[in-house]
Amino acid sequence: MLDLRTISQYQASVDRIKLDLESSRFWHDFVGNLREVGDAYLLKTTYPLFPSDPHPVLVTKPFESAIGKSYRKNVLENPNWPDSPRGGWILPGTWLEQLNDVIRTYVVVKYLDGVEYLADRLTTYASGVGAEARVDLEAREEGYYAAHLYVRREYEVPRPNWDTQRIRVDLEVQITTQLQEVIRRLTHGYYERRRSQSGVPVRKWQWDYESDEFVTNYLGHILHYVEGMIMDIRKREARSE
Amino acid sequence: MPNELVTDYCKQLGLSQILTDRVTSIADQYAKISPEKIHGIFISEYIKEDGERVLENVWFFTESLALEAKQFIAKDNYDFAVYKSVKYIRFEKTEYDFSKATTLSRMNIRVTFENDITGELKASRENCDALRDIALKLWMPRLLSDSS
Repeated sequence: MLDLRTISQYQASVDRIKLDLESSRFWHDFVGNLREVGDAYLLKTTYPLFPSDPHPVLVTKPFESAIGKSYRKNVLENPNWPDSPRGGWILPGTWLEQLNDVIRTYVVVKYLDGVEYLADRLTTYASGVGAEARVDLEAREEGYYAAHLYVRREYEVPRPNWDTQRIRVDLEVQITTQLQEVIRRLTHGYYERRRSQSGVPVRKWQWDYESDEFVTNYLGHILHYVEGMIMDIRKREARSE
Repeated sequence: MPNELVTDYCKQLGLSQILTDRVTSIADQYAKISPEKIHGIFISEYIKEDGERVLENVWFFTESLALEAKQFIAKDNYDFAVYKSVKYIRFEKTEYDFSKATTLSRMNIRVTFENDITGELKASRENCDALRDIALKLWMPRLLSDSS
């Protein structure tokens, strides 16, 4: 049962996490470090890492999205249903620690090799200052390609009785290429609607060439392939110099 | 050339530590082979339409030599040119009145030395003031002396 108290506690908690993170030395140095990483990549490859100066912005997951994600994890994507998913039910009492993206940011790089390069450098940085960090290289059937870096830190958030508790929460840093970012923006609304639908589709999207999925998913794959080809051309050019 | 001159200039330009180290390393290498002491620095750069700042060449100046490291990000390509006198200077600029540069300021200078060696120096934003100072202090007096 979700009541106004749950909603306001969630909102107060994510707002507090965002505020803590924004004012932290960790975030200040994390953002400042992007420039050094970009210039190290430039010296190594002679190509810019970022399409423009990166100014990552922190965003929190809206309450409705947290509900939607917990429903997906608990029910739609839970192979153990009606038993609990692996790791236990995702419920308001603990979901700030269970959901890995209640606070996130995006960084866009110019070339495909920049995704892993940046993820590796930021992981090294985060680990160096004592934060837990891990990277998932996402490659989804839906044509979504990105690195997700998770940096787990401790935050003080309100309890239901408005006392406070210290919990460990992931910051999700999505690192993607400029081309993938374009397709992501174009198809974001579509994916949000699709993810909230239940049940198995009658026909596989790979054969339904008139469907939205066919167009958008394959566009994601094609762009990823093109970006791989761009990398190949870049390497050939470097070899010929 | 004192390293502080390089680091101060790179700091003004907003360069990261790793690029500052690269420029300092080039200055050190030039210092080893230059017959005169280096006392000036300028990085030729411009901003592309998409906002990307492109660093081209780094210049160092001695009393009578202009030293240019072309495409210094990728290459070690060092040259020397004598500029005891200056034959020609062309200023091309937008949003800049030679007073105080703004974020919109851009300036390109084409300069020809007495031996017909030509240099092209580009500046954006605060770097326009640095390029102005080089033109006014190093080249304009030599332009006058050349014509007299």
